[in-house]
Amino acid sequence: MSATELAEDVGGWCAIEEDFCEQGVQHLDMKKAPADAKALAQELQKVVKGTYMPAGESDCEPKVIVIANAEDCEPADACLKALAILEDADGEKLWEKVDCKDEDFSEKTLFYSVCEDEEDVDEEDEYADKHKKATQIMAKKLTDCFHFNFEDGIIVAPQVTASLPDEPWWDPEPEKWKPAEDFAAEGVEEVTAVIRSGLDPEVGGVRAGMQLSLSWQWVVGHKGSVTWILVFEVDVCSLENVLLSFAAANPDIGYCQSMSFVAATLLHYLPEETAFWTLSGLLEDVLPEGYFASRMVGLRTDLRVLNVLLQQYLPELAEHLETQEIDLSPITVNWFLCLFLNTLPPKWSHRVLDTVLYEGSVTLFRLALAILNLRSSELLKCTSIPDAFVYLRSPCDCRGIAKAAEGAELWELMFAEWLNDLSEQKLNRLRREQRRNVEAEDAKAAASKTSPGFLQKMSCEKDLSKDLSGRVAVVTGASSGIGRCVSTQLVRQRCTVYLAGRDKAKLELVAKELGELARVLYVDFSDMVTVKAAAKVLLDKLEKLDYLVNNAGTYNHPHACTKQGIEWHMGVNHLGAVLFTRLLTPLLIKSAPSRVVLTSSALHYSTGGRGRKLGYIDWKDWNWITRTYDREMAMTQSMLANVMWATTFAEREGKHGITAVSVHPGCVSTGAQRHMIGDGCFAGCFKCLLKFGIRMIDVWPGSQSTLYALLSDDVPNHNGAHFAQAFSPVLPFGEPVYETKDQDAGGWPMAQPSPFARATWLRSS
Amino acid sequence: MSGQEGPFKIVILGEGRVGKTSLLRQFVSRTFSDQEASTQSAAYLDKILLLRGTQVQLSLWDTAGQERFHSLAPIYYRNADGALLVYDITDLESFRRVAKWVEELQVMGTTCVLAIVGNKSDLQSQAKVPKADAETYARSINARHSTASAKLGFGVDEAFGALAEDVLASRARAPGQTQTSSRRTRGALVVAEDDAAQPSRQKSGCCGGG
Repeated sequence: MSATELAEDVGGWCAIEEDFCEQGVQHLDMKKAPADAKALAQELQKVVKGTYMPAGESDCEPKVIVIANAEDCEPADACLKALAILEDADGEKLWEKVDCKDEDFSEKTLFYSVCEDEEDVDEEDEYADKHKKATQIMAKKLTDCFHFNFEDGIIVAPQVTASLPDEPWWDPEPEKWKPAEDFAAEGVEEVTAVIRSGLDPEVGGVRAGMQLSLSWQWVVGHKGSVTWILVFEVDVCSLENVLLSFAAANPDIGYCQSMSFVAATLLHYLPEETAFWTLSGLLEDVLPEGYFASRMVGLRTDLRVLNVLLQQYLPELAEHLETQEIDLSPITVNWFLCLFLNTLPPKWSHRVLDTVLYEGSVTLFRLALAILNLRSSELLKCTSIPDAFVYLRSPCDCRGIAKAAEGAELWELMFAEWLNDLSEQKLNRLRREQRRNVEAEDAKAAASKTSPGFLQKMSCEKDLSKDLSGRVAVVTGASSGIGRCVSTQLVRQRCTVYLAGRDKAKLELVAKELGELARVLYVDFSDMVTVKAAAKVLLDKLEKLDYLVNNAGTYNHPHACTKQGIEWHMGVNHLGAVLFTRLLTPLLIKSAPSRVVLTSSALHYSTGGRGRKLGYIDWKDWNWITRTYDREMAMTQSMLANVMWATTFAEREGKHGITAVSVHPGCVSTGAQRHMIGDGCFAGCFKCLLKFGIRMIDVWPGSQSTLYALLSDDVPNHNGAHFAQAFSPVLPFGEPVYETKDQDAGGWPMAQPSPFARATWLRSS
Repeated sequence: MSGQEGPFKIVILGEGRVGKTSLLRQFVSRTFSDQEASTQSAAYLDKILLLRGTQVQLSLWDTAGQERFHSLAPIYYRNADGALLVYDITDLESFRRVAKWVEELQVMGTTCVLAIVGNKSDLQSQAKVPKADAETYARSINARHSTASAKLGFGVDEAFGALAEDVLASRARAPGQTQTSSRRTRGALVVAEDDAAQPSRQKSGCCGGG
């Protein structure tokens, strides 16, 4: 009996001695272990915690064995002392000495089992037990059934001679599952209708049903070809019943394309209902979680685990593959997903399935490594994955290119000495490690999807935690969206904020929410009189003004004029902001260093999209009197005007300590797009966007460029610049607004916001 | 002048049951019919094309279309030179999936050459995806668009051939660069301007913010 086996008998274990480290779930290197018993105890406790099997892996008892080799007595003594401390600390016995009289192991080795609380066996485990039992019996069944005849590797006359026990070993829930006979009697359509009606369409059940029709075509379509798997007949009706039943029983797994291989193989030996239970047992218990479910985390984890094992058992091959940049996953994924059923001839693949049911998923790794080992001499010459494909896709029949692997040879390799220490425990340890990587990968992918194409730029924590006590800010358009978000953040940093806007009631509400540091200021940028009045209020009231955020704006507004007869976009977005800023300039100079932010948009550069027009201002007719009104262009020109004005204002007032910049918040979903919807010109566009999904970012990332412009210490070094969040284009018309994708990715500050900004501006001033 | 190019890795993506495998079989089996009855599953096939006197070797990777296999897709499209995005002209949903694939390829920074193929053109009477829409979209991402019928064998060679030509052209324009072709190449994924060729004036971005 080996240490591994012994340990496995008891459950998860922990090897203290170096010799066993390889095999342990968690280990402690005694050479590096702390000499102090107390510290060692803590280390041990960590190991115990780390080794503790997560719920669900019920076959592993929550125990840890500490193996201390008595030959070198010191570590053993140290452990004993450490364990004694553990005992004291928790007030209960956490470990026990395990008698080991096995000869191979001799009395030289002391075993201590560190106990954990036993888990309650709840009702769910009974279900699992049933599956376990089912698969065990199935395993036996399959072995019994292996009396079929082979002719050139093709089953010609399946002889399923062994009969199933009279007493059902499974325990169907009658209210849920109909006996197999009923299925047969009712006919496919009715049965599937019954099953489908019980499925939740949201979890892929119905989808599974739809996909099914394809799957058996696939299965049947390959019948008679040399494809190994389905050289035998499978009753399509039964196959559908089994797969649909499985989908109904496991709505979160549903149907997965490769399952038909497995189900068909099982049906070859078993009656329908038994096949269903066996499939359930195999997929729910024997294989790790998440093999077939959405995102296939379990499967992807195992692919990585295989790579790790490859490095360990076949280092030369692993190194070669790495240098040649060959990733075998496209091939190995098929191995694992179809349990080798379409890789090896049935004679062997069915035996593999049998072994999987008996031994667990470790068989799959044994076989994978055995194939790679057997083919390693050829693989070492491969320089690309297609080369490797030839040898690995069907290792027992390489089209005469290489000597076919003999099934028996593979079999021997699978259980040869070199894989002795490959155990389910070891796999589980690797799985836990690799699963983290897979999950991290998914998280990264999910993150990049919320900010598609580009990563959103965010302000740093340092800037967002600055203490702004005593500072004063004016934020226009503060009743909602970015204005409100920015105000909230500033108040959070103890800044006094004047919430400026035209909806007094809304502003009052926001102010109430923000507390005493928030004040309300009425201003309507479509009426310059109110702008002047608001500025006067501030000039009278305030001693200082540190931040002025010209955030109020309008986008894609239908043609209209402000009170003073100025085109709406130009009037509200630009001239209103400019007048407000100019009126407050004395106060800003007085409070220097102060900052002015003008909200603009990446669209100042062009209207974007396929029919995009580069932004420009027609100085002869910026009020749209002689031209046909184009509100996209009208908006674009107001945005461009803000960018340019920020630049010139910064030049003029920079020497007085004012930093003025323009910002592009990103494509933010706020109320400002209200005019985009429901009107002739844009309705079509909007429908189109809905069709493919609008990609907008939230208000918080949308507030980042403004907050950065206000708070970052670096901004004064770039006075007059344009600070842009990543553009976040709308798919599928995700063309850059700027000339390049790099520019679209934004920048703090942008290197080149608009090539003609200055030239155009000089003409106007 | 004859020469050899490749192998180029082409990956075939698209929703389930749009006919990716069928297209591939139709395309490959005519030249390789004796090898087609092989043990190889649909995962990988080879094909040598003759393009203007040049032998172009294509390594074609088929993928499973079911949504959950999406998470496995990076395994296949990593280092791909071209991607054939297949949809079913009778299934609007499958066309939307194409857009999702494009998005994914963009997010992952892949710069492979794209071609969009609407399969099942023999079912023209049941078409749900307007050809004009598909073409407009394809143009917007600078991909080729064509329709094909794997069943009848129409347009299959043309679709693969055109993609192979684009791959070849992008390689020719960016010599020495293996996997990441230049940004501006026609047919590559991240191409910016094509102003003149854009007929409709659908707006892309929405706004700045506020």
